[in-house]
Amino acid sequence: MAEIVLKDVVAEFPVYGTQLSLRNALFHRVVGGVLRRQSDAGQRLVVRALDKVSLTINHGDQVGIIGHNGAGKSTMLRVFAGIYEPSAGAISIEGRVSPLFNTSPGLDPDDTGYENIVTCGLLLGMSRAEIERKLPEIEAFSELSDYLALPARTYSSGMLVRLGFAIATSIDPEILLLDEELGAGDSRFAMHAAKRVKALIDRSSIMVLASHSAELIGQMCNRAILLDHGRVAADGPAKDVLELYSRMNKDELPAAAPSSAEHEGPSQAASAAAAVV
Amino acid sequence: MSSLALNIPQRGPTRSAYHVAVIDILSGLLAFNIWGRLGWRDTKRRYRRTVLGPIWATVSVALFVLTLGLLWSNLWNRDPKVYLPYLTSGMLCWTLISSVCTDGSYSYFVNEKLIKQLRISYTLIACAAVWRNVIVFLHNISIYVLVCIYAGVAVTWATLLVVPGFALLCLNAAWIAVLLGAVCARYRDLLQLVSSLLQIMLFLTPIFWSPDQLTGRTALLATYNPLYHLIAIVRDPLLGRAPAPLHWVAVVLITLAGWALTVHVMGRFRHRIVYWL
Repeated sequence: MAEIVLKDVVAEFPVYGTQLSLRNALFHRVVGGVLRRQSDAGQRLVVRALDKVSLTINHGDQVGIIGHNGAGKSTMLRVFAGIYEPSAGAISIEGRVSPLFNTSPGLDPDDTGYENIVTCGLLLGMSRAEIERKLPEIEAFSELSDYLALPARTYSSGMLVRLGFAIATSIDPEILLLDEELGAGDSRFAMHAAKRVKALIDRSSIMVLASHSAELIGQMCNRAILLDHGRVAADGPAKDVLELYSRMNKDELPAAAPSSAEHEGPSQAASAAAAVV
Repeated sequence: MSSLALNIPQRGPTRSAYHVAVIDILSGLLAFNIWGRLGWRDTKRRYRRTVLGPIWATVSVALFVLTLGLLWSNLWNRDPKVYLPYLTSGMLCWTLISSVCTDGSYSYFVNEKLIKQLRISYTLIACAAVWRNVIVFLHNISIYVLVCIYAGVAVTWATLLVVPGFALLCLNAAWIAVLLGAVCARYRDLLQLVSSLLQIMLFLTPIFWSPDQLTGRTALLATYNPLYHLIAIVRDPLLGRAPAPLHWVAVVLITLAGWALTVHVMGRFRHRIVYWL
């Protein structure tokens, strides 16, 4: 049974400026105690992207993570994927994780479409035989036909998305992590793609999708988690959480309405709680 | 094994960080189907749309060795038929080591996208960098063959020792790349330091000169130079003679110490590397 359990997970990003370089590390070694404490207090800047998050995701859950830009959605996905290991707290994951954050890990513009299918397939954990078996399906879905024999740099950006998408969605995932960047080409292809993602989700035992689109999460998920400044603000059936989210947006809107340019500043500053440790 | 290298298990109550580091290293070394493909692709990319392709690297080494070899054998009154094979074989090994150091220190930056998408083995990425340079080395061997024909270097039973010698050299190149990748991700100054140190070491290591030209205390320059031993176990067999036991002992010790250090550093900091990129 696939399962994800997080307990008091904290994810912090160190901010390295020029001041925190080898020179300082050496200097600390030589100078020792007092200075270190002083300068560390002043310089060690971290951005706390997730703040004491505890949750459990069970077999069969299709979870949407929603929240504003910088609420910690992508970080949370990457914590599930084990890419960012928490700086505090514990995480346990059962099941094979398939992260699809951008469509094509290891896509090389100089290689042909076919070569890229093999490389990306291998990196997504498929064997050569598996890639051979899925090739016709990838060929058909990408709709690139003869272009597959040409270097990927000759593709339009829409074609690149289609190729990456076709490869990425050909896997058989257990725990599937999707980032909203996985958008797909023109509108005809988008419909086509939605069907394929649906099939992919049905093949997986847990799906987690991060997005700021309430509509998308409403369609795809049965449970939603609302993140705000790195904390879980709400967690429950998708319908209820999305309602709360839209209420939250309405409350904020009037204040922001007078000047959209002004709104930009505070929302970004508040987007991640910066803490000086 | 390759699927393990693409999905390194996380630390947990039953798995220490050092255990994870060892899994990273072993699964990465064994995932040759993936690093082989990535390394070969990088080689192709570097020389794409050039007429000579990877032979360019060979041409530049050939020009260097030929001009310096003829000039210096003249300056130092040495028989070019003795000096040229010595210089060429040493220079080939040096090129491998120094380019592994530079490529290795950049390898995690270059693959940042991959590292932020998959829980991939860092060793795998480092191995791709090593493999790319081994490919260049194998091309370069053609220069040495020509030099041997010119100088009449005898092929003896000792020549066969090039196989274990080269295998040991590669095993050392791998830990150097894994380790440099990690420390250079954290301390950017080291990128510069590595390239300047390499320049100096080229002259301090017996490549242009031979250690028997040193007298008294300066002889220590060779004895205590790890690079000298690493080069000697490949160069001596190429020259048709068995390396002295001292070289084998030294290289085995360097290999053990190097990997021990790498396991230690990766055990402590593997989970931090992604935050440094």
